This record gives sequence, C-alpha cells and structure tokens, in this order.
Amino acid sequence: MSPTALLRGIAFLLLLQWVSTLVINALGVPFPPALLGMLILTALLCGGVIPANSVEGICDILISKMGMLFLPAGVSVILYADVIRAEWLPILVTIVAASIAVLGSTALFLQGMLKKGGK
Amino acid sequence: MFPDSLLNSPLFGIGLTVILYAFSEILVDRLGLRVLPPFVPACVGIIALLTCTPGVEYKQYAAGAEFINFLLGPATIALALPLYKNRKVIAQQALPILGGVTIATLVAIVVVYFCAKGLGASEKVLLSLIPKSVTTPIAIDVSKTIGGIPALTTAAVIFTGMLGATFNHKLLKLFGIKNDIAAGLAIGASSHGLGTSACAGVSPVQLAIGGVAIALTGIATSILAPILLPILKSIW
Repeated sequence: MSPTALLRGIAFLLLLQWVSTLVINALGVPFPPALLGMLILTALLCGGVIPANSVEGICDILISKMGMLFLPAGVSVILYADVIRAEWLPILVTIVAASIAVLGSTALFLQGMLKKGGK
Repeated sequence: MFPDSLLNSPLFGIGLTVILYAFSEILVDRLGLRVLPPFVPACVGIIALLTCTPGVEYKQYAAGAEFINFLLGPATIALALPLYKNRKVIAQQALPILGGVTIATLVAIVVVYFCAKGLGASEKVLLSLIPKSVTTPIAIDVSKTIGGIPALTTAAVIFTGMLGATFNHKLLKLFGIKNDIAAGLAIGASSHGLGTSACAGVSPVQLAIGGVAIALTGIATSILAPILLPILKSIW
C-alpha cells in the first residue's frame, strides 16, 4: 500500500464523515454521522462509483487497530467511579447476564434459521 | 518522568494510548495470551497510571486522547469495506439477519429491564443500562431519550464491549456455534464495535456481519426502546 494511496484513502473517509455530518445536521435526526458514512461508502462501493482498492489500505489499518481507538472511551470509565461504586452489583450482574442472553439467543436463532433454510 | 510540559501537551494522551496499546500487543504476543484482546491490559494500565501517579489528572490524558477517540469516526466508516466484500452473503441471508437483529434488540431490552429491576437498581441506572449493547454514539442518544444518564451508559457500553471482546468467542464455542454469520451477528448485536474488533483476526465474514449488526441493532434499539419501555413498566 503506497503512502499516496493511504493519504487519499483517509482524505476520502474524512470527506465522507464531513458530508454525513452536514446531512445529519440538515435533517435534524438523532443518528450518528459515522454510521451514515458507513452506509454511503457501502453504497458507493456496491454501485462501482469508487474502486475498493482506493480505500482498502486505510480501512484495513483502521479496522485491525480499532481496539486501540476505543481506549480513550474505556479509560473515561474512571469519571463515573462514584455511580458505579454505589450500585456496582446490579450493574455488573445485569451487564453480564444480558450480554450472555443476547449473544446466545441471537447466535442460536441464526444458526437454526440458516440450517433450516440452507440445504 | 512526567514534567508539566509533557502533561499539558497532547503528546501525553496520544503517546500513552498508542505506546501502551503497542506494548500490550507485544505482551499478549510474547506471553501467548491469544485469548486476551490487547485493549484490556492497555486500558487497565492507563487507568492504573492515571489514578496512581500523583499530580497526573484525567483531564490531561483526555486532551490528547480526544484525537485517538476522533478516529473512531473514520474507523466506523471503514467497516463499509468488509460489508462490501461480503455483500453476496448478506443479500442471500437478509431475512435471518433482520430476524436475528430484532431478537437481539428485544432480548437486550427485556433482560436488562427485569434483571436490573429485580436486583434493585435505581430507575436512572436501569434506564442507563438499556442501550448498553449498541454502539456508543447511538447508545448515548437512546439513553437521553429514555431518561438515563449518558455518562453511565458510556461506561456500561464499554464494559459490555470489553467483556465481549474477551469472552464472546469462548461463549460461542460453548453454545456450539460454528456458523460465521450467526457468530458475527451475535457478536455485533451484543457487544458493538469493541466486541466486533476481536473478530478482525478470526474471520472476515464475522467482521462484515458484525458491522451490519452494529448498524442495524443501533437503529432497532433507538426505535424499539422508547416503545417497549412503557409496556414493560405496565407489567412490573
């Protein structure tokens, strides 16, 4: 992946985010601009408006290191230490129980559906 | 080690984030801890450093960390690439995917409601936990709409993602899930981008479906949570 292609890739992603922000502001709907940007880029790629290799390098880098990008949000948890300390047990149990319930029910439902419709 | 000229520069927040993440990757690799996403030791390390070092404040970290946080925008847009590459699978399985997203959203809201209420959580905390499975920007909006505390929602979302990134694949194995579409959708729907980021090294199909699930669950939750809550409140 050449440096020029990477630079153009990130420029294009920023442009998309810029446009998405303008659209969301104009519509006044509570929707995250980045998700709209994702939908627009998917449409542009599927419609063949831009070739996949023009954004491939930068997309691969951003996705494979996405864990690092969540660090500031993760660290900000220390700001809410008081609320969490006061009700830590219901918070902890609810998050763990709901996470397992959602993961299990969704995965089992889908695996069942796909098996039935598959062959 | 931490002179004011460093603490008051964005270098502190950006440097701490990138250096500790890179170090965590090396650590996870050297110790063969493949099960642990580098996010977890890095996050614990930064929190320990910020809380245990006298004279270092969260504010000083946040000033630089903001730049890293900003990149979540372009990274979310970048999820379009795996979506595009797997468009055929997604189009073929559109119906099961939509069904799965609806189930995930309903189960999340109902289980959080009854579990938190049963354990005696205050109403504010309960409402803050409702959107915990969806991506942070949407979760904050939903939390505001239904009367939660957006800050607590952010914490719950991140904790859910950390749990997901660490345990999702082990739990799916336990449930006997072998299908990548089922796994990816369940991961994206239950633990948003942070959980899905753990699919990066596992399967491109999981990553793509995870991206679809993040978008769809976010939309479904913002529509269903305000409708479902009055009904749940009338039951209990």
